[in-house]
Amino acid sequence: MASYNTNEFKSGLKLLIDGEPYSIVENEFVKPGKGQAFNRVKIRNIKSGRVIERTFKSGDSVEAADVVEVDMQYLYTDGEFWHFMDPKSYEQISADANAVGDNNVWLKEQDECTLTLWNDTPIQVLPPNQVEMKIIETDPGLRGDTATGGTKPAKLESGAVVSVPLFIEEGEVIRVDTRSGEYLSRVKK
Amino acid sequence: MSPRRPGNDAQPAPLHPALPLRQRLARRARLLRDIRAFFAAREVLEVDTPLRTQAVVPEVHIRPLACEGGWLLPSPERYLKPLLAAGSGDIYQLSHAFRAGESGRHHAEEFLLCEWYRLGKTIEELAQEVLELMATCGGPAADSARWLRYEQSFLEHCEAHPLASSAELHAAAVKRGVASEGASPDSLPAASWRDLLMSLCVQPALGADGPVVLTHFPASDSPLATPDAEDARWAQRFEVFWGGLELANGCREARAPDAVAGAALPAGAEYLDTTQWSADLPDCAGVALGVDRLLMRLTGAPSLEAVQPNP
Repeated sequence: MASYNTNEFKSGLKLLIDGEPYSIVENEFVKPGKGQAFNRVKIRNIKSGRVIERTFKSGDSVEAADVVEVDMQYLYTDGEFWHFMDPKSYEQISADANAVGDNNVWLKEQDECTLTLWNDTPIQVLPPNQVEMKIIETDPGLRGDTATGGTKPAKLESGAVVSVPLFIEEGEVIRVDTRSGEYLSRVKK
Repeated sequence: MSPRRPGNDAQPAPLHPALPLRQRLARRARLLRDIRAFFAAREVLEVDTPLRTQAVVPEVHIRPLACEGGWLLPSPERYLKPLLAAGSGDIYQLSHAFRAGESGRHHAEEFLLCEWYRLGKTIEELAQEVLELMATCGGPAADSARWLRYEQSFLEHCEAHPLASSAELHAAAVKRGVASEGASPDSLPAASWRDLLMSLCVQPALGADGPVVLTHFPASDSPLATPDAEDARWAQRFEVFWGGLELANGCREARAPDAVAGAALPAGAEYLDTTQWSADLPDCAGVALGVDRLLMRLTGAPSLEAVQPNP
């Protein structure tokens, strides 16, 4: 089994701790004048996002977590799983609701997503930072009103609801930032 | 931060990594000049002994760096002590030192060390001299330092006695959030739990408002130091802290040091045979000061790298 010595610690390194995959956020080497050295690390649980601190005796080895990130194309969902495909090998993989989480509303067929795989199983799915989606439901637009700055809710084809400017019409395609859920611009087709 | 009184000159401008190279080098050069002037005025002789050795000084937690034909020295002690035994008198060396595997914001495998030995001085007198050197180099005034015993600082910041058992020290570490409850108290010796608490709970709090001199270290952690005359549980060893960082550590040298239990010898290394000169070692105290660290604190630089010419 692969492992890392504390002297290989650096941010981003993936460790297996208490059976869970973690990523090093910060690593600090501490050592009293003539004493034992330690590595004090901040680590983020890749599944839950929670950050904890751990201390290791310098020179110790810690098991590596087999965690990789891959870019895959989103295909479809059958309601239970979300299916992705490697655009080069055409290999398919499916992610469950735990891995997809709240990001399910930003998944659009054909879009390239970043999947975090732990022991070849997806544990996190990140949509592109920006997606283009069609509005399927919103109040009628106020033609010409591009300046007042008011907003209204709009439902997208994926089910996500975002605030859009008043002039946006049903059936239009808009660009949305998936990290903040904010409207960015209208996409002219 | 409370205002600090400068030493001789006004405090130089903070050293920023973005400063022009020439300016950063000039600040470092000034520190080296100040150190040399300080010792010249006190008639402590500069010596330049070899950096490479074939036999290593036994240390439990310091790993020497291997080189062709031997080891690069983790401190000049190995050659300075025989000089003292041969009658050199007061001496100092300003040279690079090497410690394998040490790297971080406050550590580097290669760093600049200033080590000096004073005949007939007590550790209090030597610690005072460290403070005076710092003041001469632009640091806080020597009389602004706070002096306290290791035991006192430990009780203050860890709510545990430094000589408590592994179990008690582990419990203190768990309470302070620096060890996990799941770790077995026996997974580390008491001395290592003590080091953990010292590094993470005590040290960061030392010297926020000016230098701190810590004295009376546990004798079991200080095999090369003379035990305290009144209480042999403690050693005549001190460390100087400034802004949560250890800048210097020194001790009254033991004339016939005990065998260093647990010292791990690197593969292929042999221990230095000190028998030829150790009996002639005069009564003296010695101290080593991390020059890069001092420069960090003098200039407000964020890391060792920021003050080294070629990090």
